[in-house]
Amino acid sequence: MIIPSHLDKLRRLRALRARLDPLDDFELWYWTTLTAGTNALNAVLHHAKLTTDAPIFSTIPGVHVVRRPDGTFARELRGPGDVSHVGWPPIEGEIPADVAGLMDALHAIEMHRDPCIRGTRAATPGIVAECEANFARVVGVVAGRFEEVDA
Amino acid sequence: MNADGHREKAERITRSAMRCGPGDWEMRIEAAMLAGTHWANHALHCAGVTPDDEDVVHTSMLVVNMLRKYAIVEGELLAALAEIEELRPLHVRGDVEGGHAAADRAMALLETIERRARRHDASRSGG
Repeated sequence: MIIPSHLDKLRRLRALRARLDPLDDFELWYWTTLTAGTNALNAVLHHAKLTTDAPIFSTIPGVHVVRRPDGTFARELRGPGDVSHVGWPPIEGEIPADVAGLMDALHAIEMHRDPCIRGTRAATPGIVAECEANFARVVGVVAGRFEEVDA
Repeated sequence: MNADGHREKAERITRSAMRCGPGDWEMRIEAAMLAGTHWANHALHCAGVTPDDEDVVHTSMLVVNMLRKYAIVEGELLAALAEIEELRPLHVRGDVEGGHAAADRAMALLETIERRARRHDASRSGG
């Protein structure tokens, strides 16, 4: 997906995060954080020329939804585009330090996904604080590359 | 996770989704996917099709034969969940026009899923 669309989603998802209660709405607050972070990751990966910003949409690695000339959409086998998670698919090439830092921070957020969203681990103020700190790192990297994004 | 745990998660996520506005179509679709998946697991556990330690994560990731097995009992519910999953590449991971309408459709599908899943609660309580 193109960079402006990633940044638009990041902006709107950050606004939604602020309206959700991190504990009372933990599941959706967390998922909003995760989705915003993934858009941030894809924006910087495209900006660093590590992945393409083609207007195609990821499903599983190597398979993207593509608009056909008749306006319909279909799955096609394509090379690296947007990633769905850190390391899924892996990124080839030399990764700049700021991008690596963003990936580390997002991966730390992702570690709470299965236990807290699909499992029975209860959200705690400590988990929320950890996610907040790592999300701030994510946004900081994006702000360093795109002047229209506030840290 | 057991059936009651899935129901509680689904209810929490659905309640949180009510705090989304019309411009939050990505999270309305994702909420429908997340809550709908918990409802699917609730229904499958209650029906005795899956044990507590066998949860569906995404219908799109299921082995075909397992999806066929689950669909014997909850075909309509799983079809609704699959339709929500199909909205995600276009409107959550994509920027295709029509996000508002897609989110409305996802939430309507979630209502269908919840209604079907809750039938098991009525059966369990003898209602």
